[in-house]
Amino acid sequence: MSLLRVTSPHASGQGQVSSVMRDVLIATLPGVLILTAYFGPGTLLNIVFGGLIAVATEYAITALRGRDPRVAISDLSILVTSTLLCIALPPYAPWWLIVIGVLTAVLLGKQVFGGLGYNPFNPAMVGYVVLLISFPVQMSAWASPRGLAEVPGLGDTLRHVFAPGTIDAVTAATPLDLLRQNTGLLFEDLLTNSPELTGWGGIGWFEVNLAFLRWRPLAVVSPDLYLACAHRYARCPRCLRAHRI
Amino acid sequence: MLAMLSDQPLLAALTALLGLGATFGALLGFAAIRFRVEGNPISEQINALLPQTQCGQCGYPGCRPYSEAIADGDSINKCPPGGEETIQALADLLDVEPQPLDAEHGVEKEPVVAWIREDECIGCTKCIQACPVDAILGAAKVMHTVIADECTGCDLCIEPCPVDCIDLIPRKEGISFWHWSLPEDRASRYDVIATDAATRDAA
Amino acid sequence: MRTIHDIHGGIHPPERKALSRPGDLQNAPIPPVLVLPVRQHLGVPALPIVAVGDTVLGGQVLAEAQGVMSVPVHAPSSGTVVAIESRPIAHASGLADQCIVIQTDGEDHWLAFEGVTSWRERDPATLVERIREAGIAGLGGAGFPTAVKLSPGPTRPIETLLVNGTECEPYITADDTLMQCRADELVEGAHILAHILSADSILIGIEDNKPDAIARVQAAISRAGVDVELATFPTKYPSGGEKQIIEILTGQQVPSGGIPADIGIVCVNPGTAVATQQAIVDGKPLTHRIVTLTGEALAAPQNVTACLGTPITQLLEHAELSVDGQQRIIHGGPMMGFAVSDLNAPITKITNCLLAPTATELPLPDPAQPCIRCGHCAEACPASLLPQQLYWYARAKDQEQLAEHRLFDCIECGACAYVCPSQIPLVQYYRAAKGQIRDSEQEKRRSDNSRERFEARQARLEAETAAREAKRAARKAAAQSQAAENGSDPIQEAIERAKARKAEQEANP
Ligand code: SF4
Ligand code: SF4
Ligand code: SF4
Ligand code: SF4
Repeated sequence: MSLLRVTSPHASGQGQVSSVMRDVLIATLPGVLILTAYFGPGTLLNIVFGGLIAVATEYAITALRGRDPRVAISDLSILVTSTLLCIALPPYAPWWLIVIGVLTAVLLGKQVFGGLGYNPFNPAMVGYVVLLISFPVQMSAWASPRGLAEVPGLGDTLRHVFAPGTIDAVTAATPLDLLRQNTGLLFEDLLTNSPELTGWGGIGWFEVNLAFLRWRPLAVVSPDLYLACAHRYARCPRCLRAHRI
Repeated sequence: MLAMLSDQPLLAALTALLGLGATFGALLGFAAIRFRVEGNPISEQINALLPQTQCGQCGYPGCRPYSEAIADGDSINKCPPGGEETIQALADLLDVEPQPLDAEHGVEKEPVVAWIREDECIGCTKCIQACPVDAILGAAKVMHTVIADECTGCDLCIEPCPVDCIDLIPRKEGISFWHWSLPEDRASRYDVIATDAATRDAA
Repeated sequence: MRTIHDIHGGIHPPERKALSRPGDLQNAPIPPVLVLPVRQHLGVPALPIVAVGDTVLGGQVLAEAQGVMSVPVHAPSSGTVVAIESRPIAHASGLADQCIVIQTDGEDHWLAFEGVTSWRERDPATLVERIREAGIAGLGGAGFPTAVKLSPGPTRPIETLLVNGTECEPYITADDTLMQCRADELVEGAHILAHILSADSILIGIEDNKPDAIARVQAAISRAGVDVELATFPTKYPSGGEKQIIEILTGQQVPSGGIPADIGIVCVNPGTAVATQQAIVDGKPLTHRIVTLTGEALAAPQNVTACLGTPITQLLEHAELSVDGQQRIIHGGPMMGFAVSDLNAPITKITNCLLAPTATELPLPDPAQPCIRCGHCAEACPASLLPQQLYWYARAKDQEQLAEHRLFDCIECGACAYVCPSQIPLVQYYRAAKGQIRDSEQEKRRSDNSRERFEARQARLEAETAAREAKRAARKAAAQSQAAENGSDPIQEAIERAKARKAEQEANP
C-alpha cells in the first residue's frame, strides 16, 4: 500500500468551469429569444456562425500553444465569448464582420494574455470595441424591428449575411441614433411620435434592453462581476424576475 | 503690450505657458521648503531592510556601513544572508531594477545558529571578541556558550576558535518551523508516499 | 427560545455521518507499543521526566509542562519506557518529533486517583491547576491548552460558557457519540468550567442533524436539574467554527484578530468538558479519547475510545482496513483534515477522526485550472472574505494586500476550495501565505534585535576605545607636568634605564 498526500479539503463540490460557463450561456437565452422574436433569425445566425469560427480558432491556437485543445474547448468558455459578442453585433451583420470580431476577441482578447482566466478584459467586449471603432457604419446598422419592416426569413437572412447588397431595406436607425440625430423634438414627443419608439418596435427595444440591461454595462466595466451576475441570474429565477421589472 | 500680445497669438501662448510654469514652479519650490517632512534618512530605511546578520560578507563591517554605502550608490546585490527577498525589497525602496545576488559575496543559505561543543571549549574568549552581536557568553578559561536567540549565524566566530569547537547548525528545523508552501502550478495535486507500514505491522 | 442567526456563506457537503454509527462506542484494544509525542497541543512541548527503562503505571506523568503554554503527557497504560526519540507523528508536514515510547505490559495497572466532588467550594485557580496537571488541551482539533483558555484575565469578564457540539465536518461523529454516551459528564463538566470562569450562563449548541445527542443531552440537563440552555440550529458547514457558532447563537461577531473572550464568551469542545469533569471529579488525567474510524475503505467503521499514542495503523486494522495500491488516510475530516504520511504515527489529543475513503468516495482532485473569477468562493466563505483576491495576492506574495484583505480571519475551512469550479487548492495558498507572513514577522523581530545588539556593541567598543584614549592622554599629561616640575623627562629617563640594563646584560651574560 502506498499513501497519498493531498492538501485539504479532500471533498470537492460538483462545480466545473464548464458548468459555470453553461449557466452563463443559459442566462443569455431570454435575451436571445427576444432578439429573435423582434429581429428574426439574424442573431441566431450570428451566434451559430460566430461560435463555429471561435471554436475553430481556439482549437488551432491552443494546439499551437502546446495545450490540449479538447480541454480548452470543453470548458465552454469560448462559446460564452463568441455568444456574448454575437449578441452584441447587429443581426444580419455581414459575415466578415463576425469573423473579424471573433478573431479579435479570441486572439487579442483572450489568448495573447494566456487564455482562460488571464485576460484582463472581457474578450467579447474587446472584439466589440475593435469592431465599433473600425466599422462604425456596419456596427450601427441595426435591422428594423418587427412592426416597422418585414422581418426577413431564414433564406433572406443567409443571403444577406453572406452576399451583402442583395437586400438593403432592412436597416434602420437604432433608438439611440434617433435620439442623437433629433434636433427639435422633446424627448417625450419623440417617444410618442416616432414609429421606431412606439408600438411593436418600441416594445421590442424595451424588452431587448431589459433582457440584457442589467448585465451588459457591467460587462464592460468588469467581466468578473458580469460573469458573477450572469451566473446568479441563471441560477436564480427570483433575481431574474425581480430585475426585469 | 496687451495689444501686441493680442496681435501675436503665438507669443501670447508662449508667455502664458512661461508664466504658468514660473508660478507653479515657485509654488512647488515654496511648498517643498515650507512643508518639508523630516523622514528617515535613506540609509536608515535601507538598514531596516537588511537582515542584520552583521556578517560582513558584503565587504563592509556590518549592515549599517553597507546601508550607508548603498545610499551613496553601491549596488544592492551584495548581501547573501538577505538573498533575493532583500534585494527585491531594496529595489522597491530605491526604485531600481532588482539584480541577481552577486555570487562574489556568497550564496543564500538556510539560516543557522552557532553551537559550541562545550566540553571541547578551552575558554579562550576569542569568539566573544569576534561576535558582532554579543551572543556568546563566557569568561576566560571557562566554557563558553551561544545564546541561540541572539546569534545571527554570521559565521565570524568560527574562524578565530583555536580548537574548532564551534558548529553552525540549521536554525529552522523541526515541526515548529514548518509551514505549507505554495502549491506548484500545473503540478500533480498529490504526492505518493511509498510505505509498507500497514502491511509490515499487519504481518 | 433563542433566535438563531445565519452566517454568511457556508456549504452543504454530503454528511455521511451514519457510516460510523454515532452513539455506539467501543473500546479499542491496548496496543503493544504506545508512542506519545511530547507535543500534542499548541505551544511549548512537554519535558520528559521518565528515562528509558523506567516502568510506568497508567496515569503516571511522563512529561511535564514547560511554562504556561504547555500541558503534561501521561501514560495511558502500564508498561516500560523503551525509547525517548524522534518518531514520525501525525502532522501535515510528515515530519518527526520527540516521542516517549512505551512497551505496554497488558496488565493495565493504574495509579490511584483522588478527585474532588465538592468542586463548587473550591477556588477556581486550584481547579485550573488541576486541569493543567491533567494534561487537558482542546479536543476539538487545535489542541489549545484549556488552562490558558480558562484564564482570560480580569479585563475580560466571561458571561457565557459555550459548549460547541456542532461537529459540522462531514463523516466525524466523535463528539456526537461522546454527547450520547457521556451526556451527564458533559453537563457536569460544563458546570465546572462555568464555575471556574464565573460565567453566568451555560449554552450548549448542537447542530440539528444529531437528534439523538440532542435528546440525551436534554435528558441529562433535566436529570441534573440545572440551568443549562440547549440550542439547536440548522446544519451547515462550517457552523462549528468558533466565531461562526458564536455568531449563529448570539448574533455577535468576534472582532477580527480577537478571541471570543473579548465579547465575554469562552467556547469549548464537548470532549474538553468531559475531560474536565473526569479530571476534577475523578482526578483522572487525559489519557484516552474518542476517535471516529470511518470511510468506505474500512469494513468496520466505528467510534472507539482509544489510548492516546496508539499507532494509526493499529486502529485502522481494528476497523478492518483492506486496500491494495494507493490510499489516502486523512487525520481529521474531509474538509480540514490532513493526509497522514506515515501510518506508524500515533493518535494524539487532537485526533477526532481517521478517514480512509475510497477513490470513488472522495475522488482525487483534478489539476488546478486558472481562476475564472466566478465569485463562487466569495459566496461560500463563512468569514466574508474575498478568497479569489486572497488567492491572487498569495501568488504574488503581496503581504500588505493579504493583510488588507484579512487573510488572518480565514479559518481554513475549505468551503471556498470546495465550490471552486477550477479546483484550485485555495486553502493551501492561504496556509502558505500565513506561514510566510509569520516567518517574515519573526525574522523582522530577530533582525531588529540584532541591530540593537550590534549598535550597543559598537557603542561599547567606541566607549572602550575612548576610555583607553582618555587614560593614555591623562598619563601623558601627568608625566609632562612631572617633567616640568623636576626639570627632567621621565620618558627619556626610562629609555636611559632600559639602555643601561641592556648594556649590563650584554657585559655579563
Ligand atoms: S552581508 Fe552581512 S553584514 Fe552585509 S548587509 Fe548582509 S547581513 Fe549585513
Ligand atoms: S555566535 Fe558566532 S555565528 Fe552567532 S552571531 Fe556571534 S559570531 Fe556570529
Ligand atoms: S471559485 Fe475558484 S474560479 Fe471562482 S473566483 Fe473563486 S478561486 Fe476563482
Ligand atoms: S478557507 Fe478561508 S477563505 Fe476559504 S471559505 Fe474558508 S474562511 Fe473563507
